[in-house]
Amino acid sequence: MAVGDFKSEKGVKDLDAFLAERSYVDGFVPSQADVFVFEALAKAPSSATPHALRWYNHIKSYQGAEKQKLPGKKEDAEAAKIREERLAAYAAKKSNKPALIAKSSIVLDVKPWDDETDMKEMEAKVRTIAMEGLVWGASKLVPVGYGIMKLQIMCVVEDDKVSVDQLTEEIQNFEDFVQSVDIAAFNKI
Amino acid sequence: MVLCNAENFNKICQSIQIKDPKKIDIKKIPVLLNQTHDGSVPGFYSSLVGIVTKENKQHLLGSSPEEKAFVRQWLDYAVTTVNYVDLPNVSRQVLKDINVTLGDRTFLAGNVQSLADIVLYHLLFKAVSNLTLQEKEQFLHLSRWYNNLQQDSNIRGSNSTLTFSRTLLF
Repeated sequence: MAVGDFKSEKGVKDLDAFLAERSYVDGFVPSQADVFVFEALAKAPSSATPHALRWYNHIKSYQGAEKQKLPGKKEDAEAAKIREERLAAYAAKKSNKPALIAKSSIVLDVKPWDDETDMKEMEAKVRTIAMEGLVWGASKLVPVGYGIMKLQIMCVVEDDKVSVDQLTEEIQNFEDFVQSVDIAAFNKI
Repeated sequence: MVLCNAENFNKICQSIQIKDPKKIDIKKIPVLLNQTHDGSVPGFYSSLVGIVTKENKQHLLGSSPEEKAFVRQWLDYAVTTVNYVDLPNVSRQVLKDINVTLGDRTFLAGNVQSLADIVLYHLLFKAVSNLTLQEKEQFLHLSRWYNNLQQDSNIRGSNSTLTFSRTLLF
């Protein structure tokens, strides 16, 4: 039987269906499995789940000491301690693992102010922008038409640290050189 | 035919696990020698209670007054009604009644397995084994109880294990 959440209504319903054809949770005599499920229940099952209620009343008829004496493995303190330690070790191992940093690779199209703009200087200006988590990459000039070129430049940003809007705004702040900035490509890595 | 006969009496005695079969020679119990013409054993019920007491297995008769009363009631019922369960119309009614009773309790007398369970296990064996799976599903509580009882090899004795399988598709 898959162990569900016996506190929830659905859990009790599942238990009811399971016990419809069984007298006990495990096997044909009362055992620690019954005690475990009994204790996991939040309250006595209602009459809407008659099988679970029948079973509940039956297990309830065993007094405290009798319950402990029922056959079956009861997890002792030692085993519980070892399990706790393993869980703690696992949690520690998990927290030591470096968190994955979300990065994006962006290609920006930077259009010059007019046909007389010095593309070399514009590129140099763009590359002066420095932010934490921003790395500039390769760039090339792409002809737009009538001898006008645009600058295509790649950069890698850390999503948490760099806002792309802020980056394009900063580039557009070089008003003497830049007419507009578009995002040509945006890829998560 | 009646069911409270010498054969079932012997089977029940085996299920109770009499420690020293020689001490109680079943064949020499006087009432068994007085079988009536239809095979019924007069004093079926009181002989069983007597044997159980003699064997110091009083727990089979229930511990609380309520349980004791239940056990005796069921034994009465066994002799007066279940006795004729091989008649089809009786069989249906008896199975139905027992099924209803078992709806809210694990054993006939409540929470402990008693002589009543053992007696009815044997008396009902034929009737239950004649049920189809679909009928067993209708007597869900009875099936659950019967299946639980037959797992104990002492109770089962020489009887075979009956199949109870519940599928949601028919």
